[in-house]
Amino acid sequence: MLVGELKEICGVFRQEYGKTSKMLKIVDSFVIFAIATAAVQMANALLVGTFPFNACLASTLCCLGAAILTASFRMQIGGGKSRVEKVFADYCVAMIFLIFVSISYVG
Amino acid sequence: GAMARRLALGLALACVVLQADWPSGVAVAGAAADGQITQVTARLARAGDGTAPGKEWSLGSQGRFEEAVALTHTSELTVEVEVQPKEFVAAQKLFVLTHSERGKLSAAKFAGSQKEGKIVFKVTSAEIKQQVGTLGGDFDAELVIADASMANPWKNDLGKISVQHTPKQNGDAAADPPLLYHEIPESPRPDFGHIMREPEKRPPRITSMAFTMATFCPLGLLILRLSSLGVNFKRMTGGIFVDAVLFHSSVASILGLLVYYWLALPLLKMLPIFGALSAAASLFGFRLLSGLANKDKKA
Repeated sequence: MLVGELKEICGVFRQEYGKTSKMLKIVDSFVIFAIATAAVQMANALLVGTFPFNACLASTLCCLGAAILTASFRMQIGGGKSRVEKVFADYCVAMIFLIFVSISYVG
Repeated sequence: GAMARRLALGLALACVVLQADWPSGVAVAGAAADGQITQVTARLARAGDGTAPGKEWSLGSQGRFEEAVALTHTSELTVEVEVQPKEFVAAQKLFVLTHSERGKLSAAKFAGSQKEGKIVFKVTSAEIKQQVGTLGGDFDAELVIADASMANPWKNDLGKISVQHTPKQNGDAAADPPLLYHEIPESPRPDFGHIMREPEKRPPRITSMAFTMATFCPLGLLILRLSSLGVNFKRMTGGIFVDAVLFHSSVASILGLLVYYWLALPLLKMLPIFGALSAAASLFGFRLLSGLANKDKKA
């Protein structure tokens, strides 16, 4: 029963998601990539250790920060209210500062 | 009553006539004016045995020991001060031992006894122990003879006396007493050992390399996914091609600069270059995005 409902939900999601524009799919892929990278690093921290701790934190939080910024970018362009070019410029500036802070913290 | 009044009046009249001073507040029996110190002698011998042979010093009135006098727990130091005239009795007679390192807060004082023009001080380690504890080592010895009738109090620095208290049962020297509370700020702090944090356990190199490769896997999957979505560069053609190349090159340069900053470049050298590249990226980005927006409008 539950499995059947889950299958139905996935089917509907796939069908509706297929209608999404290519640009949004590219952005979604990047969000999933950032979260997956953060997950791999957290698995490393849990299984192997956190040495050096500042580098572990910097890399994980950089990936999560990138995922959050990209999700925010996706929300703004998906809504259709803001111009893509303006949102993209803000997104570029925020990402560059995120990477600068992360590299400073890595040491 | 009347007799006492007559006696007091007669005394006052006698003082006025003879121009004598009123008696001072503290009467010193047998005091004579201007007592002089003429000789200081010291003798170190076995304690309690006045006839035993010992070492003697004749220091004059201002002399001092040439080298430190070793006062052990079995010996006694006797210091005699001759005063002239013999009838002079000093009110204050002190032999002061001040520890050379701990200073005035660790000082032993000995009162002298005077008889027939000689002031005698007897110093033993037991009496020093009663005053300052088992504090051993070098003490600065000083004699002070003072009285209201003396024009100037007499002080003499006798030099150093090295005190050794009764040793412990195992033969070790007696331990110094702990510092008093008010001595602590002036004394050197005790040595302490640094406790370094133990280095963290590091994984084997191969494990770290394996997880590094695993971190790149999502990137590979992303590239595959973008290829399947049909990512292309068709929008970069036309008039905005140059701006697009310049913009992406400047962003790539910023990322390269950040990697170089991570590896070698100091922050203050990186920041001006970062500012210049950011300005270039902003300019080319503005041109690129404006061109794209105009292109969309025309379409």
